[in-house]
Amino acid sequence: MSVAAAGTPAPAPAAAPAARRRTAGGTVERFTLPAVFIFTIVLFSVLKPAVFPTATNFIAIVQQNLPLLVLVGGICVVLSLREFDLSFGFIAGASGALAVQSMVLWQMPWGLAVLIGIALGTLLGAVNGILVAYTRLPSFIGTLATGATIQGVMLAISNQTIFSGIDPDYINITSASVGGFPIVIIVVAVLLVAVGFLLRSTVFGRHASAIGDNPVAARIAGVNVKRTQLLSFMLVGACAGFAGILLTSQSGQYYPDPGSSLLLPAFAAAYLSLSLGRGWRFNVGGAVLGALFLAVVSTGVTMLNQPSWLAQLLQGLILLIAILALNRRRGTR
Amino acid sequence: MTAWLRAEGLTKRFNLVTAIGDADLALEPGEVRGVVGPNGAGKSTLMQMLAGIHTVDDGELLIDDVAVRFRAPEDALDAGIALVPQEMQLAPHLSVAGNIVLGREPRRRGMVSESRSRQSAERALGRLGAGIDPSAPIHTLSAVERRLVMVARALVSDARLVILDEPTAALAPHEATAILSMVRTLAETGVSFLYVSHRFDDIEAIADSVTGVRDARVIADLARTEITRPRLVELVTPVDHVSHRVAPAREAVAAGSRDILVVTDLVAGPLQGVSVNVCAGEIVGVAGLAGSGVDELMWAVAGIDARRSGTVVVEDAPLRSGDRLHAVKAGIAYVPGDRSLATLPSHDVRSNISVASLLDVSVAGVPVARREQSRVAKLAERVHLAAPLGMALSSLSGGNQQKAIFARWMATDARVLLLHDPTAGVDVGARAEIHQRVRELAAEGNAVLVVSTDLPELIELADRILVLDRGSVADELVGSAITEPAVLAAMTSGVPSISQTALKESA
Repeated sequence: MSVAAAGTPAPAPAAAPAARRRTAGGTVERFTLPAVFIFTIVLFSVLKPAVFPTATNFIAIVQQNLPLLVLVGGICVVLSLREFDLSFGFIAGASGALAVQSMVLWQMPWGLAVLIGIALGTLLGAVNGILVAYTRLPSFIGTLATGATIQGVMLAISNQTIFSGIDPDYINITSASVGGFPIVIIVVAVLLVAVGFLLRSTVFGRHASAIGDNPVAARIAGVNVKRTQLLSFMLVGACAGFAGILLTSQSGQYYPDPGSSLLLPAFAAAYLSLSLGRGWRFNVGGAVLGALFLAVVSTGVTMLNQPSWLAQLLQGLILLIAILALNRRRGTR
Repeated sequence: MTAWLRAEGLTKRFNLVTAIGDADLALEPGEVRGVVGPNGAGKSTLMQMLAGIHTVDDGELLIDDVAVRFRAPEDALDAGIALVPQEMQLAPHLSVAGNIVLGREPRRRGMVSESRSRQSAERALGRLGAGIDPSAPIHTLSAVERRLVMVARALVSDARLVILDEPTAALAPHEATAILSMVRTLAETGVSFLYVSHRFDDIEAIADSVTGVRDARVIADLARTEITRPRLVELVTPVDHVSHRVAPAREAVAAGSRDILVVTDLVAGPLQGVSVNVCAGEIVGVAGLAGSGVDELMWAVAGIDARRSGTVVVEDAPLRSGDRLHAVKAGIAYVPGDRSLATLPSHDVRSNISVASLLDVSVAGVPVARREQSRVAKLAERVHLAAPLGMALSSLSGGNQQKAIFARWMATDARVLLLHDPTAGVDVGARAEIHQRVRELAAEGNAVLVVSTDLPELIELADRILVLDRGSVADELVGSAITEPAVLAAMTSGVPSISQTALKESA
């Protein structure tokens, strides 16, 4: 895993000029992605001046990708611990399924259904956290296993697509707007700012980042590694639960496995955030920008009436180039 | 007989530092040559050059009077030189035979031939005189059997020279005997050995000659008759120009001073019931060879590793076994020389200093930048750390990194300071400064326990020195009894080992 290798303590370079060179190179790379992002927007705006550079289009892009953005916020937290969570797509699916079923089968009010969905996500995240922190299961394979298990639970909760019986207010969560601006965007923005603050500025986030840098040294320094791991996985679980609610609310129905297609873009966005931060740091702001960048590319390609495989191909290439650039930076340190 | 391998003026430099310079060495067939010297003297670099791990910067290596140049370890293996490092990794779930032929599997039509692998493994083990089942998985083997498998690996490639780096370091005395007799048996068949060891018992028992390495130079070439305990001790005693013992200005610790750290009957790893008390203001040193249990003592007291039995009490509060968090809260600081156990390499100096005390500068779980900054700046000044606080720690020199780790623990209310080779890889100037900080911290009423492989350091710092040998306290030296020969003697001959006794009987 490239992430696992990232924290391996590099031998201390003795020469100061090398350090300066690295800083300068890092600065160039930090602004490469935003520059490419702006270039892409300008390019699509020139090619499709009538439809692309409009407020409606940008709001639509953000709105469509809200579940992804919520997931990206959570995944940044575990990645900064140098752990993986491959189960969050399935947690989102299971949470969405339970929320919908609690309204359809048990006639619960939509507010309670939302809470139940998020609670299930948090609980499943806690299971992951306990396995990783207290039984020392490697998180990569461990969450792959719990993910498969959760997928089974999800299909048991609801093994078919559900169209009817969903409270219209539940669908309103994602469609209600004030003066054409969806309220849910504000909710998600507040959530992401909070997660970003948690990761960047609190004792919890500083400890998480210390663990990601050198887990052994963090433990010896008195950081509660296990608790931090547990809380991080719970946080991802809660985010996934919320994302599951958003997915089912957006589509106005429940369909099996709604979250699995978000796995790749969420990790891609989180890794793009590395090229925007100082040093090797996952950051929520950069990840959100990365997710929107990928979304803009696919929307733009669609607007230009290009085939959808081109969007996929471009997204893959963008991620590959960003990671290669990072590797080069790490190689020089 | 004449030498088949000659090294003349071998030199290796890392950047501008000479790791080993102008080293000469000659080996005859069947010769067992001991290699002795203090840590960091350049022994390993010399051995690694011979084994092709490091390229030679200057000088010549002649095999059968033909100059050779190794570009990779494979070249050395082809020339018949195999290195068995101290920390060699075997594949734990492969069989003995699988490990022995690993990388040089006999093939038949492109497929690995199991039967021929087994045959060559059996042949190699037979030459060692080791009765190990070639089909047993490695993880079922004892430490000494694994060591023998490592040597068997070398024999499969028809090695003419086997370099053993501390082959008995982690072994009990009776197990070490098995390694020594193996070396003897093989040497009689004409295989030469370079035997790197801190254990003088081993050297005296089997070496035909000894090369002494110190301060990146070969300083001695002893023949069989010259190998005596005093000569060997002399070889590992560093001539230290800077850290000679400064007359300790501080008064002796007041009698009846309160015990801060009390360790009773500690059993962990090789430790068999070790007890240590350190009182307020006292610096207690612990000396011991690799495998004596000094490392495990530190790890068990720090709560990094669990202990099997015994108690660790800090200011009357017993600590839970293997609970590092609890130990930190009780005030146990741990400064290792192995900086991979302490540093957050890609974090800046500030975060590295404040990581253990973030809650103290926080309001509602959020560190206040201003308070953190002023606190860190104050501590950096106290430890004389000149580097910018925003710099990544990995870009600092070893000495500055170590100062930052000291500052980290000074930010907490540590009462017990565990120093584990605190100046390893630190230059002499920084070393003296670090020693000064240690004395100051002790003078403030903290308890300090120092483990160091660097004897002059221990002698310079400690009020009292415990010597561990094979898991128990072999000796305790106080005040004027603390001298290098005394500590060394206690470290190396606390209990006569079997190999030494065997030698005397055979003599």
